[in-house]
Amino acid sequence: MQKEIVEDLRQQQILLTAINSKLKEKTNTNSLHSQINTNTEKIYNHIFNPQKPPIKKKGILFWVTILSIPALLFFAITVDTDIFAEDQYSLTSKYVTENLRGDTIDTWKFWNIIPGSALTVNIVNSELLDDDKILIIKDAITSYETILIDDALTHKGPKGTSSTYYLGWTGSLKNAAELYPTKYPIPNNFDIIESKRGEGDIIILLSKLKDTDGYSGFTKSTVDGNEILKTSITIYDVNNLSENQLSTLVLHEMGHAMGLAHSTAPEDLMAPVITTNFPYISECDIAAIAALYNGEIQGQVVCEK
Amino acid sequence: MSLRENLNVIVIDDDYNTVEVFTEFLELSGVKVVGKGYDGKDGVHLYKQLKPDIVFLDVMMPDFNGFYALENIKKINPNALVVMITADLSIETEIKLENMKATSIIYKPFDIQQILEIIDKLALKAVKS
Repeated sequence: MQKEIVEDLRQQQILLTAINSKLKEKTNTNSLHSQINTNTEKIYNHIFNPQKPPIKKKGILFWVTILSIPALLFFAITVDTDIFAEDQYSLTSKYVTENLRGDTIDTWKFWNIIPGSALTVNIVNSELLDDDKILIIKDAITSYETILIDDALTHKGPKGTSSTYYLGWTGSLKNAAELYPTKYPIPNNFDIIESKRGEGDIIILLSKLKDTDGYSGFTKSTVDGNEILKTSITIYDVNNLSENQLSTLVLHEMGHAMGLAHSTAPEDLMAPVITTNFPYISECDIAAIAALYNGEIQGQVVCEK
Repeated sequence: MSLRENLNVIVIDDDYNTVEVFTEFLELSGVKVVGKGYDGKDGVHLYKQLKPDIVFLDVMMPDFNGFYALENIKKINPNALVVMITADLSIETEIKLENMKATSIIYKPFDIQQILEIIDKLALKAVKS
């Protein structure tokens, strides 16, 4: 078996070299494609390296200062807005659900498990991250911790009212299972393993690569009938993610893995572009899970509050 | 359009990264990967569901290995094109796979040109059958 692992690694090296040269060929024959990729990378770097000083803006500011005070005031407002935006999370995610034939399907599905049984989550390539960051991934799955956030901060209600948020899926799913009777059992136990093999119901693949379309996370579920059979989550460019970004991405992609689609509320964890300063599992995410496992809706998160 | 582009294949290997990288390579070479599996049971299930033109099947896998999958795929379709991929160079394995009517045996780490030649040959076979 040891020999097989070594040969697998050698094989991957050969294949990656071949892929690399094929991609280079493609890039050389399509300069427009290359230009688009370069631009995508620039945008991606802007998102993931917010600490980089906006050099051009500083240069512009210098000339604007000399030229006119009104222009300076206008520019200062713009810069403030940018800085504020950079303090927030800005991560993008995509998801796909396919049947066994590989056709993409629109309806969202759910796990149909034996009550009380656990879903196995396999973290592949865990050696790419240090123990603290692996713990962050595990916490996002297994934590029961909650926090209370004032609705005024999340634009969900007046000051003084508040909502409970979960910091991990186990706590939130157990809560959903207790609060709502559902036709199908809501999975709320997870066994986490770290293996190079493809075992597990949910695979979290940590990748050093950057997605060429600029996505930070990608979830793909394979379904048969109404049932999710296996889900693969890819977290891109893991080495350049902050702890908060990593936690947010795992929480978001695990939402897809449980069957949720994107949220209609831009400030929600399940929004397609995550910009919220409070990226935690909300009450409306929990309600959507309960509805999905009750066979009522197709998994879209609609936040009324 | 080359014959390769008409091919639907499935890839079965217990190593997740190998499946992903091999799939990426095949798709860049114009072959459509319609299914991916991680043990012999997946392989049989996917073959039954998808009826691919070619199966790329790892031999050494825990629980349900490549022999199990080959045997059961051949029960479904005795003419199924199954390319066995293995790091096991033993003569016993080779004889066993030949007796089980494996279409081809490739040893890891395989050469890119070798795999493309096999795909092209099997593409012709798939068209004729």
